[in-house]
Parts: sequence; structure tokens; C-alpha cells
Amino acid sequence: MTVKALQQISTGRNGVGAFILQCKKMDIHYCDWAGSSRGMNGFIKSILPQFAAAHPQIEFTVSPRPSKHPIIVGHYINGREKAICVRNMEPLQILKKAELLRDASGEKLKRVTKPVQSINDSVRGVWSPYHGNGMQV
Amino acid sequence: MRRIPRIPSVASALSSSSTASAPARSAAACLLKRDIATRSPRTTQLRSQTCAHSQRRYLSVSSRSLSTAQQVDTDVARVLEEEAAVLQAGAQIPSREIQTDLVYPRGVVEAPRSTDVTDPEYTPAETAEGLEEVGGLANWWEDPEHWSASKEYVGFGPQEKVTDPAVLEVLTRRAVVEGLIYTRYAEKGCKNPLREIGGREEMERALKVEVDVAEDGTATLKKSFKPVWADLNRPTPEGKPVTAEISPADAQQLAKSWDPKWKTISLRDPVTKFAVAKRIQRLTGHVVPDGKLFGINTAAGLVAQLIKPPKPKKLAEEIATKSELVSLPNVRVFPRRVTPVDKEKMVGRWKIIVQELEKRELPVVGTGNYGKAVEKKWILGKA
Repeated sequence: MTVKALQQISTGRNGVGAFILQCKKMDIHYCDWAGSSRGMNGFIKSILPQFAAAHPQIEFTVSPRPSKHPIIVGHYINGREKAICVRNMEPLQILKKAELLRDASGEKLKRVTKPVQSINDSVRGVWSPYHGNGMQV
Repeated sequence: MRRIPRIPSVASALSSSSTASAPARSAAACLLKRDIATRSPRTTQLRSQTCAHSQRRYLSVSSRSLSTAQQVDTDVARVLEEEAAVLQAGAQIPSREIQTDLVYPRGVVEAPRSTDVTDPEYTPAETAEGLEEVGGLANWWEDPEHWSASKEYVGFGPQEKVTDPAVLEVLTRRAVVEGLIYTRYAEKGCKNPLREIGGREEMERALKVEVDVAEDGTATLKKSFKPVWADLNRPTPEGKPVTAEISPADAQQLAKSWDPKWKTISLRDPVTKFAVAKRIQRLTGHVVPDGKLFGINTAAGLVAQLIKPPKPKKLAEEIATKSELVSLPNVRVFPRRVTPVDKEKMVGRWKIIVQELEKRELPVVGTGNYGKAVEKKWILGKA
């Protein structure tokens, strides 16, 4: 069940004041038998405890998926899901994929052409500390 | 003996040239002389042919045609006559009977000929169809009675491996002590090196030997180890070997009574290490693989190699017993696949789904009698 945002008066700016991780849940699936899950089984045993402890805001579920390749499914607060197949990967490669899912916004991948993206563009442009009169601290 | 290139051996030439008068010359015929005298002419003829055949087989030569024998020159003929004379003079073909304790088919029982049967109701069969099959050697070696006990496999170690951890520890200590003693006296030579298991007394003697272990793992044997060397030198007694068994409870008690320092005994010396490994195989049935043996340098390493906790079959079981994942509040571990039904149950929707499906008389799980949705293939673009 996804989190539905309430009708809001002002637009939230994630990271301004508070930062809410967009990934809310990760499903980790493995197979006991298949060789493609060897790295995943190692990841669950050795790396996942630290990773899960470092991210208490993400819910982790670990469950077998017999006779299937291992996957990690990320669930996001916008209601979307992102699944990555990690067959035949080493535990550290799987950690990279888990970090990718953690950092993802859940949005569809878009082509980024500009260095700064804003939903409320400033007419004055991007503020720079190296221009203007400077500021006395 | 002269060799003639065209003939493999003199005996073969004899065999081929003697076809006409085989019964008179062959050694097998000599053996059967008494039988021939008492049998009917037909049987005698049959026997003669069999003898000639068996002679050829004993001499292990291929049957040469008569024409080949006729082509030999006078020189060859002379040699053959000499050979025949020697044979007739009493020289016997060496017996090829193999001394064995296997039970193999012997003695041929001949059925009476149809003409010899006196029963007036007897009618000889004209075809083999429907007749009972008697004898035959097709499954001879399938019968365990035809094999002797000497053909059973006897391994160096016991057939069943010792698996109890306490017993393994006790036997390892015994093996290490005996290995050290063997190394100490190896130069003197051992009559029966590390082969004899011995009985209960021998085991107790070996376990009573006290060992002083230095910081670097060097072991020094204390007194009372000479009887153990005598035990190791004792020749294997005839008959069933005596084996010393120790119960797991006794072994546990015994292992607790020792100073755990004995496990630091160094096994870096290859002679000791191989002696201990050999003794371990003899006592426990465990063969330490070469790759593992290379890395084992202490008695503790050897014990760890022998005692293996059963490997958990499932990752979920392993996580439940070992991993820190269980204690984390944001992690849930499921022992089996999480099905769509499970997911509905988790959010408390399953009861309502069941009620609604039953109200509409629809199958709760599966498709019931309705089959698959035909629209599915349209959606997937397969139709």
C-alpha cells in the first residue's frame, strides 16, 4: 500500500528542513538451490545486517523465491517499484545495486540535460558564492 | 627350443596337426581314458571332439587349418615328431586350474537320450517353445553364495565413519599420541606400522600417556608410553580384528578430564602429520584430504576438520540461528516464498476477498472450472 500525500498548501522540498528517503521498502529474494544466488546468499549473510542497521527507515523483507534468479525490489513513497536482478553477482556488486535502489527517487528515469533542475525556477539564476560583493561573516 | 616363424609355437603346430589323432595324444584325453572305455561309441566320439577342443583351449592357440600343417617342410615335421615323442613319454601339459575359493560351475549333468528313456508315455518335444529352461550360467555371479568371503572389500578404516564429536576427540588424542610415539621410534622401524587397532586395554594405555606441550606446540611425551609402542608393533592377530569402542558419554567425560592444552600440539612435522592422518583413518574411517591436511598444523585443527556441525540446508535456517538480521526491527525474514495470498493476509484483506469470492460462488484459489482468462493473451499480444 502506497503512501498517498494529503492535499497540501505549500510544495514540500525534500531536504529543506528534513530529508525523507524515497525508498521505503526493499524486498530481497534469493534461491537456496540455484548457483546464480550464491552471491546473494553471501550478501544476506554478511553484508545485509550492517546495511539494514544503517538504514532503519527502510523496511527489509528477506524471502526465498525458489528456482528463480535473485532480485532486489525497491518500493518508493511515490507508489512505484524498481526491481533489479542480481544473478551471478558478487556480494559487493549487490551492495552497489542496493545503494542504487536506496538513492533512487522512484521516478522513471529521465534524461538530465541541465546541471540544476528546479520546479520553481529563479529569475535571478543560481546563487553563487563566488560572484557579487561577497558576504562578511 | 627351435622357433619356426610361421608357427606361433611348437605346441600350436602339434595341436593343428594332431586333429586326426587328437584323442591318442592329448593330455585331456588321457585323463578321460577311463570314461571313454565305459561309454557308448557315440559318447566316446563326442568326448573325443570335446577333448580335442579343450586341448586347443588349454594351449591357447588359434585353430590352424590342416593345410598349414601340411605345408611345413621336413624339418618342421621332425621337430613335431620329437615333441610328440616327448609328450607321449609322459610329459604333461601344465595344469591351468586356477586356485580360487569362488564357487564356479563344475560338473555337467547330462540328460538321458530320448532313445534311452523307458517311460512309454514320454514323447520328445519337437520345438523348444514352452519347455522349461533348466540350468544356465547367465545369472551365476548374481548369486551371493557363489562368492566367497575373501572377495568382500575390506577397507583400511572402519566401514562406518565415527561421527560423534566426543568420540572423535578422544580418538584424535589417541591418534596424535600414537603418531608422536611412532615418530620418536620411526628410525628403529615398525613391524606393523599404525595398522593394529587393538582392544580396550590398548586404547586406555594410549589415552593414559601424558603429554607436555610447550608454548610453540612442541610435545614431550612423559613416561608410560613404551607399552604403547609395543602395542603398535604387535603383529595383526588372525581372525576377526579386535576393535575398541567407547561410548559417547564415556568419551565426553574423558575429554573433559584432559587439559585442553593438548590441542595445541604441533603437527608441523610431516612424519608426525602423516602418521596421525593414517592412524585417524584406521581408527575413525575419516580420510583427511591432502588439501586440508596441508593446512592442519595443530591437533585442534585436526579435531575441527573431523567434527563438522551439520550444514543448515536453508539460508533462512542459518539466518535464524546465526545472523544478526533477526534482531533488527526493520528486517523480516520469511522461511518460505511470500505468495500473493500472504501479502493480502499481511494487510488483513484476505478474509474480505474470500467472503466476496464465496458470495459470488467463485473459486477462492486457482481458476476452478473456468480455465484461464482468454483476454490475457489478447492483452499480451499473443493471439
